[in-house]
Formats: sequence, C-alpha cells, structure tokens
Amino acid sequence: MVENKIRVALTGNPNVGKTTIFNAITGARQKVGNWPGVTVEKKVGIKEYAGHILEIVDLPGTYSLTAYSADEVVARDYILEEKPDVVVQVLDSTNLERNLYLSTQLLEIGTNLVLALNMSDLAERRGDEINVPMIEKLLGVAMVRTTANEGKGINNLLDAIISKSSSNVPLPHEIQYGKKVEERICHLEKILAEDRALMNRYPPKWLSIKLLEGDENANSKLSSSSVQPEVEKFLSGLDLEEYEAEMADKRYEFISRLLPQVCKTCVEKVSASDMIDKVLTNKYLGIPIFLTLMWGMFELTFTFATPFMELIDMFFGLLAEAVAANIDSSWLASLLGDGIIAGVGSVILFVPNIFILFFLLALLEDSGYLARAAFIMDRLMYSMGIQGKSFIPMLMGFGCSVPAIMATRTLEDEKDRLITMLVTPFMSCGARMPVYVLLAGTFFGKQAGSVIFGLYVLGIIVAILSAKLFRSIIFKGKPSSFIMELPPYHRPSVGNSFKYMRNQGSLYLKRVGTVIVGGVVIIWLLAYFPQGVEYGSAESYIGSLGKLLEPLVAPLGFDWKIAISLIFGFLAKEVVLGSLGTLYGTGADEGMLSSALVADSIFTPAVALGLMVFTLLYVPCIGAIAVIKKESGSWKWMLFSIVYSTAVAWIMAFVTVKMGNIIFA
Amino acid sequence: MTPQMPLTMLSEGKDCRIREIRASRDLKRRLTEMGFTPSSSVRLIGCERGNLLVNVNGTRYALGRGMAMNIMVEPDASEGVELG
Amino acid sequence: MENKNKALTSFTLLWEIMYLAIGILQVLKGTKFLPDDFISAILFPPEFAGGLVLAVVGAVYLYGTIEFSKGSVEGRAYAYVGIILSMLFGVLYFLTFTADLINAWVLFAEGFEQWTPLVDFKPALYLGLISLAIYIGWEEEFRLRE
Repeated sequence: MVENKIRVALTGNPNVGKTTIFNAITGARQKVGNWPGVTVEKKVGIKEYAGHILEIVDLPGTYSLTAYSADEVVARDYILEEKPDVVVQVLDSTNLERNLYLSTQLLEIGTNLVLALNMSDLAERRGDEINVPMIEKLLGVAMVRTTANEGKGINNLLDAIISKSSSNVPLPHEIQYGKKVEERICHLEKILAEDRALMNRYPPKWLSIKLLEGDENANSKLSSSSVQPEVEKFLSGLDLEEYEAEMADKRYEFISRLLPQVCKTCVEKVSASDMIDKVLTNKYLGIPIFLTLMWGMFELTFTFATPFMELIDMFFGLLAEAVAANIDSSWLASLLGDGIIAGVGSVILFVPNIFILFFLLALLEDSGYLARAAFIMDRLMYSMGIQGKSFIPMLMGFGCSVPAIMATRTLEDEKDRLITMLVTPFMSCGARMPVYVLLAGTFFGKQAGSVIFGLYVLGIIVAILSAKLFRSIIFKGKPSSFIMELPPYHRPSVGNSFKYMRNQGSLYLKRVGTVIVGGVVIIWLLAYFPQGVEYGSAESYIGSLGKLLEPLVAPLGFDWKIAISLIFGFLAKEVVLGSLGTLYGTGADEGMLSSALVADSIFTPAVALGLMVFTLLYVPCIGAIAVIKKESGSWKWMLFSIVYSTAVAWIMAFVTVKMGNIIFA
Repeated sequence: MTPQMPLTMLSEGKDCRIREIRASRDLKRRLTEMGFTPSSSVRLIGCERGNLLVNVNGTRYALGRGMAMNIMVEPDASEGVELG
Repeated sequence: MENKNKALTSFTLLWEIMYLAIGILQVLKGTKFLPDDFISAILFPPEFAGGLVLAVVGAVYLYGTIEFSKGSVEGRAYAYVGIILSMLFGVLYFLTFTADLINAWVLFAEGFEQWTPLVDFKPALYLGLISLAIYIGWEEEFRLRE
C-alpha cells in the first residue's frame, strides 16, 4: 500500500499549548511556553499513523496573519506559498473570542482547517459548553477537543487531520465587511483578475482584503505583476488605516455573533487569577514579593546544588588520580590530567547550578508569574530606558546569556531589542561563577558571599547605566509602550519544567563541552610546548604569548598569567579558571590553586577584586557573541558589544584595583 | 454627544467600548488584532500608578500608561454586554 | 459571609503577627541590633535576608487583615497568596535542610563538620510546615472561586 504523505501546518496564538501538541504528536523534545528562541522558526516533525505519514510543521505562535512581525510573515507565507494539505489551529478553549480571530483569517485564505480546542479540561471545569458539531457546520471546519498536557484527544486530532486531508479545499470563507468595504474589495478583485498567474497563486478575495488593509507583504507579492500600477493608483486614494480598523472590527463582530450560537456560559467573571493579580501587582507589595521570590530562587539554586557539586568534585578528583596512576606516557597523562579533566571538570562542576536555575525559571514562567513580574518591573525599568519585557531575557542572563539573548525576540521594537541584547551579558552568567567562588573564597574568606553578591549587583548597575547611556546617545527615544498578555495562573507543570531544563541544559552542555574541550586542549598544547619546558611556565608558548599581552593589563596590576587567562575566557568564562590552574601548575585542584594565588605576590586582594570585576563585565563567551551577531543580524553590533564590554571592564577593573590598593593597603 | 475619555480614567470594574486609538499604524494594528475594537468589551481590572490590567474579550492584558492614555473609550451606560 | 470568614480572618491575623514579628526579630539579630540569644537563639536565629523574607510575607497577611477589616472580600486573595508563599518558603528551607544534611552526614563535605539539624531549623521552615498542614486540612477555606 502506498503511504501518502500529508503535510500539516500547526498554528495558533502564543501560550495555547501548541508546542505541547506538537510534542505529543511527534514525540520530539521541545519547550512549552512563550519564550522564543526555543521555538525556532521552522520545526518539523514526522508521525506515522493509520497508514499515513504526517509531516508536521510547527509555525511560530501568532495572534493573526497580518504581517506585523517576522513571526507572522513566516507563518503566513508558509501557508500561502507552501500550501500545506491541512492546517491545524490550536485554540485555548477558555479564550475562544481572541483565538477565533486567527481562525477567521485562516478561513479567509481558504485552508483545510482543523481546530484543536486545547485546554478543554479547563473549559469544562469552568462550566463552558461548546457545541462542536455546530461550529463545524457553521465554519466548515473539523473540530476536536484536546487536553494536550494530559495527552487527551491527540488520536482524535490525527483522525480529523487525515479525514480533512482527503476533502477538497473549501471555498474561502465569507465574512461580510459592510457595503462600503465590500465594494472596494470587489473592485480590487476585478483588477487582480487580469493577472491569471496571480489569481492561481493566491485566493483573490483574500489578496484584495489584504491589499485594502494596507498589508505591505501582500503588496510586495504584486511587485512583478502587470496589475500593480492600477492597484497602486486605486489604493492611494483611500485611507487604508481606516479600512484596516474597520475590517478587524467586523471580524470580531462576526465572532461575537457566532459565539452565542455555539457556546453556553462562555463568560469571564472576575476570576481567581484576577484576585491573585491584585495581590501580586499591588503597589506596595508587588516588588517586595518579587524580590523575595528572586532571592528564594537564587538561594535554592546555590544550596541545593552543593551536594551535587561535592559529588562531581569527588568524581573528578578520583578520575584525575586514576589517570595519574595508570598512564605512563607523561605527555598523555598531562594532556588528560592537567588538560582535559581539569578543564572539563571545572565546567561540569557548575552544571547543577545552571540546571536548577533553568528548572526554577521554567516553573515560574509556567505558573504565569513571570509575566506579572515583567509588568511590575516595567514601571521601574521605564525610567532606565528599558521596558518591562526586557526583564525576562535579563533574568535568564543569570543562567546563561545565550538563551537570554535569543529570548529578546519577544521585543518588537528594534531599539528595545538591541539595547537589551547589548546589556544582558552584564547580568553575571553562571559560567563566571567559578571564578568568583575561587577568588572570593581565597582572598576574602568569610566575606566571600557578600563580595559575590556585590558583583552581581555591580553587573545589574552597569547594565542599567549602559541602557541609559545607549538611550541618550545611540538609540534616542523612549522604550516602546508596554502591552503584554497575562496568561491565567495555573499550577506549573513539573514535567514541562523538567523538559525545559533538560533541553536548555543539554544545549548548554553541548555548546560548552565542545568549545571548552577544544579550548582546554589548545591551552594544554601551548603550555606543554616547546618540549621539555616546564608546564605552563613563562618559557612555554603560552608564556610567550602572555608576555606579549602583559603591557595591556599592566596598569591593572595584572601579570601575563592573568592576561592569558582572560584571553581564553573569550572562549568560555569557565576557562579563565582552567587557564589559571594550568599556568600555576595546580591543575584541577582548587585548593592548591588557591594557595598558589595567595603565594604569588602579584595577587593582592585588590587585584583579585579587579580580576573579578573584569571577568564580570568583559566580553561574553564566544557562544553569546555568535548569538548576538545572529539575532541582531549584523557584525556591527557584535563588534560593538565586544569593544564596549571590554572597555567598560577595563575601566571598572582599573578603578577597583586602584581603590582596592588604598583600602586594603 | 457621548463623552470620550482615555482608558486611564476609567474606573475599576466598569465596562466600556473603544472609540478611537491614537497611535502609530503598527501599534493600532496590533491593538485591533488583540481585540481593542468597538465590538469588543473591555473591562478594567485594576490600575496601579498608571499601569493597567484590562480584560478584553476574556483575555487579560497589562498595558503601560503611555499606551492606555492613547486609547479613547466610552463607558457603557448599562452593566455591559456579556458575549456568549 | 461574616461568620464563615471568622476562621480565615483569625488565621490571617495570627500569621501576620507571627511572620512580621519573627521576621523583624531575625533582621534585628542579623544586623546585630539585638543579641543572638534574645528570647531564643534556637527558635529565632539571626538571619538578615531570611528575616526580610518573613517580614514581606507578614506584610501580605497584614494587607489581608486590613482588607478583612474593611469587610472586603479581597482579603481572601491576600490570605491565599500569603499561605502559598508561606508554604513555598517552607519547602525552600526544607530543601536547604535536606541538601545540608546530605553534605554533612553522607558526603562529609568540607565546612560541614559542625553541622547539626538544628542549624537549619529556621522559623521559615517550621512556620512553613505548619502552614502546609493548615492548608491541607482547611483547603476549602482558602479557595478563591466565587
């Protein structure tokens, strides 16, 4: 039997559980939630079911198919140009009105539409009664109830997809836009009809509607058409904004007339979520509650990670001993022991921290709280030149800058986005921790905790001041107005948070593992050769390189060993520590490194502090830099970020060391 | 003549209808998509120092003050139409 | 409505006093304005950050009490959020306790030689556990559904 392939596009508003459904169908591992950067533009999955092969493309979550943002254009173009066999829209059953707006647009394009009524368990509990057969009849769609996070209704959905795929593409659905608008649409259709090719490619009424709305993307589809000048002329005499608003309104009217016929008791009263919101966004309590939750999150990250860190430490210690005892070839032993085990060990050591932080962040986000937090912080942040939505990426920056920078996609305003991208790396990421822990622990003993806390605060302050600076000099203007959907609160799913932790965590490990192992081997090579030279001493290649760079950091009181470590920190911040270990000959043993540093006269508390400040502020790791280039779309900003952060780091470190010399003298 | 006022001046718990949105093209579009149209019911849930929590068509949004000041509304005389 | 809420209002009031008082006590001890053994060093150890957390939770309950006294039904929201926070931090301190336990008695980690369970027996922990018991027992009282 010939298996035919059915191409399915998955769309829906953000936050409706589209990704959960995608996962449930394809079994792929993905994150649930509205943190972009994880839902990459095109996600494809395959499912074999009932003798068919389903190829499912998970399109970005969008509110509608007007080309307001890149996400929406991607979604719309896929449906228009690739013409999938079936389009599945995932809807939030508790929120039908807003969700149906997208449906009207999909109907107008004329797709084979299957509506997945997700979160139907919530709707049922609320007492909503949705008349599925009626909707199917009125709109010409197939509709299935699902509760994705419990896996219910998925097979029904697949059945519906398969049966829809064999039905003919329905005529585009008709919404009446009122006499005046309908006249214009008619006129445009007549003009467009002259271009046969165009008419075969796009549904005429739909295209007319979009042109009337002033949709630029639709306009561009006419660029090579013969009818374009005439269309231009016609449209230029009209106030397109007015038409757009009018048509949006008509769509909602259509929905509001539809709903009473198909749904009983779909009324929103003052809900529990509203009442909770009053507390959490309370004028006086809002920020303190937020601060306590943040404190709790970081506190838990550190304390709960310690047993794991102990275990990892012990494991690597044993491994290093085993290697030293059993491998005869001295260079191999050195490569493995001093190089790889030490380097990798120092990275893996802090993995529990990162993982726990990711998990807790996911939990908070899933519960719906983070949206409120962004809202609360917006007030404060506005005066700093950033808006509330920048807050979530910045918070993620405490774990790792890479997903944080990707998360800036939520910001529509280009300026806001760039500023956030440039400023997020100052939020001390997890990779910089090992450096603080070692240096602060060695030179500041009991005060280590406060010193580290102070560093974090310094990072935040620098971030805020930089944002202000950028706003007044480079990106003049105010942050864009704030509008954000607040999803209802619900019990966060531990399973989903776990999945998120696993995904982000393994991405992190992969990223870090390859770069760090590579970097560590390079360091080892430079430190070991020329042959016969003392490992990591001034005579080795690495030493020569260091001496060359020393003048750059001499005013800071740094010597060539520190210079080299910082250079390698460019690869990944954990490598700073690894390099120091290599250069001081202490390898993986932190205790020994600690003593070695104290013994070195170059290293005074002031210098240590200066080094920590430098590490805090200077250029983020290569992974983050690459992401900045990708997300900002240009080399210019990437270079700017490198230069700016290093300059700031240098200046701040300089000030710190000078002041430190006075204070600690 | 029906009185128009910015959304920021609406009292808590009252329903209203959108009359006009004074904003840039893109912003207006975004707002209308989200349901800020004359046929949608908008209710103010809470207001903290200018930042508003509103309920539009059953969905909860947070609006910054700057945004809310540019949305002109007219309060419902009656208790508000319940959709559905 | 008044009588049904009696239990809830009393609880809110009581917990408000407990959290605020103990929180402030811990802060004062933590900043050395009060000696460590004021009243009891074991039950109320000095702790600056933790004390602040308790005080904030206490403030939430305080708001609740104020709303209740105005006869407003919003007080329930504050009580609800309050007890969720109480339980959350109870769990947090419990996890810290567990982690430290493993460090000290299973792994024999450095720096934990002096540890005893009492070290981590903090107010946030026992108050949180009691809150948990109360919530489980009287969940209906706290429900926010109309």
